[in-house]
Amino acid sequence: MSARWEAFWHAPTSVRNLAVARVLLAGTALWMVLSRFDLPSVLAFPAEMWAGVGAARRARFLLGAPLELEQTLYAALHATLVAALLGLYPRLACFASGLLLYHFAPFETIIRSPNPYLRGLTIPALGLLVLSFAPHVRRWRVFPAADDDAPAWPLRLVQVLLCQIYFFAGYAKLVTSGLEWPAAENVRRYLLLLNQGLSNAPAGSLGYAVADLPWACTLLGWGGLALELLFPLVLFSRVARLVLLPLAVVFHVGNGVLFRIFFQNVFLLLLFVDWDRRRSAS
Amino acid sequence: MIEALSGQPWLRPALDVARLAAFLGFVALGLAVARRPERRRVDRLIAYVMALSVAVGLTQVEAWPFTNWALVHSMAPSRMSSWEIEGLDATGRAWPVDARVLQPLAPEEFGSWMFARVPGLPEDARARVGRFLLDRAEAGRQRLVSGQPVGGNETLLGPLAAPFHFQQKPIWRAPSDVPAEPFVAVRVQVLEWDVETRRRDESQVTRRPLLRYPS
Repeated sequence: MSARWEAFWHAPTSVRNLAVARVLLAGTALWMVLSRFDLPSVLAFPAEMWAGVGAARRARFLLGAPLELEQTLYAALHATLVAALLGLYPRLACFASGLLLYHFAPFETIIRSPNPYLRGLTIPALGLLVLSFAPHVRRWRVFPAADDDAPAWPLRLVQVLLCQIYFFAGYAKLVTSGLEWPAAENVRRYLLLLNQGLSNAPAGSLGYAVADLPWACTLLGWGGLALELLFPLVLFSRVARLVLLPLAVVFHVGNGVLFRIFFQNVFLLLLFVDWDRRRSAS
Repeated sequence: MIEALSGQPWLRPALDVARLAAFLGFVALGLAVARRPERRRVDRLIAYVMALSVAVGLTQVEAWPFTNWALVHSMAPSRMSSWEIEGLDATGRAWPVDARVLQPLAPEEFGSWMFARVPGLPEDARARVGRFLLDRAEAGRQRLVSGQPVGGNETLLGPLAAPFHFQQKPIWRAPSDVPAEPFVAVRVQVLEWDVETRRRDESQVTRRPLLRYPS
């Protein structure tokens, strides 16, 4: 057990892989915050919309500052993410970005839920904090020096957290709905209702066309569930990475086209690529 | 026992404080590693993150940023409900309002809040929400007419802006989709339908009023 723990978490990886992880996490977060222009303006929404957000919940996410200060902090988040992306004071930039993301990510959902887990900032918030704790997170060197290996645990931890998205999405389906979830009838109904709710002309959608093919609904249900539950194998097997990573991309494209569900963290799948295979064990 | 506990008014605030403590524990262990990256400290951080994230996943009780990752995990319902906002011009003509006017809020967030809270609001609070929607609709109309993005999310990145998790098709595409003159009133309607019936006939959607401003 101890040897396996050692091999999994503390095997060396190239510092380039850590640098790429920093770029991917900061880049994803920056894309999201640039796409949520003036997110702090949610604070100025009618008081009725905030009535369900109690004092403890405000304390949990460190809410309560005036709008002007929140807007300044949101601008600062952009700056820290750019610094993290470029590798300027990378650990400090990652730490500040992680804390600010923890504060701002719930703005997207807090009037309904304190759990903004499907809004794209969860893994960047956790991942940037993890990287900030690691001593080997530095600027990206195009040609790493001979001693530029580092313990893999920061990268491993982020990879594990990313795998949990898939695994627990599958697990949640099984514990909530059981083996009826992937059945053709259930998938068909999801195809219909999501296109009816989100599309202006559902009758012409690809989701509607696929809903009429029972074999395709069965394939989507069981195939999707299998991918979700098996995805953590990418942590242990190169063959699994070669098979499951492209399948995950197809899965997300299919979700977008058929179910109108977009996964903002799709680029983070590149965290599983070894960017310095000459020297890395990961 | 779980039912009795979940009815306690102190439970939700207590859980929020506990979740904050769980996050602060993560940061504290991480800072200890950053200060002195000894193997023992690193292992403690890893064990903490693994234990917390797996516990959250298995119990499906969130402690964001450690979360349950559940998505469309229930059985699909046979009946659905949604909502639409309509702006009224001075002639009384109704125009569908694009939900992008609510950005940075996603439509599903506003809709969930509205279904849960608006029916129980007193008249003055409903009027404030209605006024907010009218202002938003009118501001969006003006942006569309002047050639700007309808919602705020595209202000910096334009069409390259990250979409919301649930991708709603835009309603407003051209200035002809809105009146030339300002909206003077707004109304929200609840839409309800049977999924299979609507599959056969797109018009099989019932509408009932939820909010109108001015009333």
